[in-house]
Amino acid sequence: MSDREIFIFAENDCGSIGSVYFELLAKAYEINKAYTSLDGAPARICAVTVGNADENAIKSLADSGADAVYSIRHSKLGVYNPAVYSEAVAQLCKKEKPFIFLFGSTAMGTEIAPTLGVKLHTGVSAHCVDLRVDDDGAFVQDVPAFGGKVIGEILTPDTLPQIATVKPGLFQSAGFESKDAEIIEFTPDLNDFATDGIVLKDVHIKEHDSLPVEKAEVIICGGFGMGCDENWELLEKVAGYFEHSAVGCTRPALDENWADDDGSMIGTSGKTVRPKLYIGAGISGAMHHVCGISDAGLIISINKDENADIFKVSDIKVAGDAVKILTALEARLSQE
Amino acid sequence: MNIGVLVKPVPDPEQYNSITIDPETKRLDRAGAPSIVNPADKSAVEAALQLKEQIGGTVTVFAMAPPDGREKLMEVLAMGADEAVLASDRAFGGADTLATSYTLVKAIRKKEEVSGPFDLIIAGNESADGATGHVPTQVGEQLGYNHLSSITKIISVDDTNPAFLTVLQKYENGRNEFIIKLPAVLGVTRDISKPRYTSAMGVIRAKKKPFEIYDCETLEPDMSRIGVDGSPTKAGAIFTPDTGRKSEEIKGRPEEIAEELLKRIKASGVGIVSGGGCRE
Ligand SMILES: Cc1cc2nc3c(=O)[nH]c(=O)nc-3n(C[C@H](O)[C@H](O)[C@H](O)COP(=O)(O)OP(=O)(O)OC[C@H]3O[C@@H](n4cnc5c(N)ncnc54)[C@H](O)[C@@H]3O)c2cc1C
Ligand SMILES: Nc1ncnc2c1ncn2[C@@H]1O[C@H](COP(=O)(O)O)[C@@H](O)[C@H]1O
Repeated sequence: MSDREIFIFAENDCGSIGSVYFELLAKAYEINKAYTSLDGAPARICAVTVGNADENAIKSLADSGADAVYSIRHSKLGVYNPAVYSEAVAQLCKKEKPFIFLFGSTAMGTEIAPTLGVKLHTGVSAHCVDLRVDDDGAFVQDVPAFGGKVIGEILTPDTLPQIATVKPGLFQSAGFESKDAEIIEFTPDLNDFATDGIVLKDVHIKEHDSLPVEKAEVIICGGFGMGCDENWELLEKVAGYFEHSAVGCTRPALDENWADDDGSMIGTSGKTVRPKLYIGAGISGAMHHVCGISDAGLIISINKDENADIFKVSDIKVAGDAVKILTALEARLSQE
Repeated sequence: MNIGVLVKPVPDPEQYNSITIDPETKRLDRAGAPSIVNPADKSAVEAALQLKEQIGGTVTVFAMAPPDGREKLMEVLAMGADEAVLASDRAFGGADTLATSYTLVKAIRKKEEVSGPFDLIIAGNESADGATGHVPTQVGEQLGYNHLSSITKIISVDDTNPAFLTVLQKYENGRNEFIIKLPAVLGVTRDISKPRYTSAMGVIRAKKKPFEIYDCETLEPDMSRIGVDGSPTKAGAIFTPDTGRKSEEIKGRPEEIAEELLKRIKASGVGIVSGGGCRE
């Protein structure tokens, strides 16, 4: 067995595995390839699930292309409790001593990963935009600073595991052949671990009546420059002319309540998206927003300020009033 | 309820687009961006002040920063916080989240020796510059307190002994509602509250409020756990990613622009719905 194990945290939500697992898996394959070509010793890629995953979830992990699946099970893991989950995962790490541990920067991942950092006294890098292996075999984690304006290389040279979190949507998933992964059950010792500190009382699921931005092929995105509620409706209308479309927003637009779903915000505190087409209207181009669209196909921006920063990251620039341009575009689309 | 709030001075996010890296020295040029109180931390202070107004207690603000961090703490004292602690020493510099949170925990413990234990520590969910969001969690874990991050709302306070808070946590599909037992640490998003404006009176009062500066001598930390040496992650090279695109300008009357845009849009391979209204 290889002494390099790459663990990937697999969140399961009612029997289905969160998409970021598959994105991390694709990256783990790349890392593995780099190590293999460097010293001929391939890593073992292992999915880790916690919280008594059901048969479907385990099966989809076992078929995902991972070498092994660790299924952490205990009666105290039935309901999500970050403290107990973290303890369970820490116990697995103490036993298996993984080399790298990857998490999605989800609500769950961003609680468990830093907690593990304390429990195992190791480094955790956050919201990595790339993960790679350098010529000396070091695991390099590229983290964004200042909203993504600057990228810094992070190394965790002396402690294991090297923990990194990655935002969902940032890496692209790929299909891998099933390796019919070995399923390893792990039962943590939680008998004396108090569970009453944090109790999940209820889950309020937000129903989406439209396609979420991270799944959309076309995003019509509005910023503070849209000016008012009525103008905002124009975005909805234009989006209506495209298949698989969604309306996205910046933070000020959300603050103004023009957009009502915080899940449609794009950027540092919001989603990372990769649509085929992104049209941005009345958006200045702050790093905290544009870091979320760098992998978009065609980027068209409309801003009345000729020198707006958004133009620098756009394929097509339209310097003008967003309402006038979008109204004309809508009129033209209606003739199609 | 005795509440501590973690406050980080950060370069003003409005200026991040002008930050560059000197090609010669490879050093960061912050383009003279002034420091502000991290936006989410102002919301954290506001949430603490509201809790205090509701059930009584004190609000103490903590920062680990160079000496000029004092000004930023004065700003939140002016908002209404009661006391401030600045952990400042050259040896604290270059810390990653683990070493930062260790140092903040030492400062919290030191303050507790004189002021009694804290029931609740509130932090911003993420800082504008580093934005790891890991410090609140790692402070909570090292204090041995219950902790939750991504909190958007404190729904209710059960001020019995032990005390509990009911809170909402933002997650991918909506909100989780948790009951958390105090003492606890919460990482809160800007949704938690809108920071109040500072009055002139507040600024004057702030000058008389207790302000302590803790250095290495006061905190007596394990030197292997602070600063660069105490950080398991090491920072390597920095660079600015190339996100630039060609920015080809389309000009004309709105109808002409629309015509040209449609051509480009069609070439991008997206599907157009005749008659529109596809999202209704
Ligand atoms: C820690 C942190 C995290 C953040 N995370 C996010 C995030 O995830 N997503 C996000 O979006 N922001 C985020 N922000 C905020 C971000 O820094 C910017 O403030 C925000 O993106 C600006 O939004 P905007 O472009 O809509 O507004 P503004 O910056 O106010 O820009 C409005 C633009 O509209 C133009 N305009 C005005 N009128 C018209 C008109 N009639 N026609 C055409 N153009 C017009 C103006 O020229 C201007 O350029 C974050 C900030 C911090 C500190
Ligand atoms: N040096 C610091 N001093 C005080 N509080 C801090 C410091 N660093 C981080 N914090 C707190 O932790 C939160 C999250 O920061 P970060 O983990 O850097 O994203 C901030 O919003 C602050 O409340």
